[in-house]
Amino acid sequence: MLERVHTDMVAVAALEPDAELMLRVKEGDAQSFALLLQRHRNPIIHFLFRMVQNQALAEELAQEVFLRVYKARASYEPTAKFTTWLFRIATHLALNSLRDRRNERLIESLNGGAENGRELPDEQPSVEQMLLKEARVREIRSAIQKLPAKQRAAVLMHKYEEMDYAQIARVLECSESAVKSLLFRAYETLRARLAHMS
Amino acid sequence: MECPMETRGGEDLLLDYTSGRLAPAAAAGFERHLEHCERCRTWANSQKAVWSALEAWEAPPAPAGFDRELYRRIEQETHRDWWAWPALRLRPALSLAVATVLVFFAFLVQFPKPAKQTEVVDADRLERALDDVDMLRELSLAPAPASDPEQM
Repeated sequence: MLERVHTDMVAVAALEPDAELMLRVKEGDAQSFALLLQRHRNPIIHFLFRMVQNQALAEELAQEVFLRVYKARASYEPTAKFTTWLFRIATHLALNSLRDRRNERLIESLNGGAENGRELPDEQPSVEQMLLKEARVREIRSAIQKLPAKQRAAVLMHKYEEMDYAQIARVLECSESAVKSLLFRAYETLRARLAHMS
Repeated sequence: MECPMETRGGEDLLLDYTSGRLAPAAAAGFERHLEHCERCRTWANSQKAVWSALEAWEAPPAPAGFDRELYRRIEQETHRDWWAWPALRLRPALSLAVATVLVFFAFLVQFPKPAKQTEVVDADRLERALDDVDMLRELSLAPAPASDPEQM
């Protein structure tokens, strides 16, 4: 059994450059941590932003994710893909944050409305185009926000992080068939809510 | 090809097709099916619409000071750990030591050490005893009293 775990660890480390970097972080290499941060900073912030729909909160949670990674470096074992571990931490934090009513109140106060700035403007769009795009994005955000938290996480990982069912299952700590069911139901809801946008 | 809508596990194929993750041969097969299956065509079109609508939602990039703030927090944590860990490690030992000392004192109060039984020689008593011994000796050396003549 132990031998098998060890073999898995060696296999993951051999296949995955991120796991290899993390093993170097474990040995005290700060440069490897900087590389991991550079690689995964944006995907994690994007995922968290779409989960909690507030930029300040998403950044705060992303800081927490990387802080936890750093603090857990000594006990890190490459038993799974690094991104699986990373997104598992991020998902846990996001789900806890969504569950926490205090954070929901913070979202309302920080948002002061549906939008919260800092979105990248297109190249010289007309006012009409901008308004149209804003309206579309608002609808998408609203449709995603209304999904149950686990369905939302599954959709975001499937759509934006391009993860396969197996990896999403490992992040959400459920079976692959449960992930497929989550995704199917989530897209069904989104199709009903966003059908008019086609 | 069987209709994925009526096949167990067919949703994988539908989702994979609309998200562009289906192998080219399987995708071509499904497209042939779509030509004559109204139900799958409607499903696929609406799913593709959702898929492309989601593209419109861009997330903001990391702010400029993100890394700096993270390293500041790491530094803070490391510093705190440096101070906190020895204290945390010592805390149980310290508590144990304090508890031991308290138990020791409580034991002392509860069961005071018995006073050592030293034999103090009282000089007066000794002298009296010696006097008594001398007196007995004198009595035993004294001649016996004469017998009563009347009894004789």
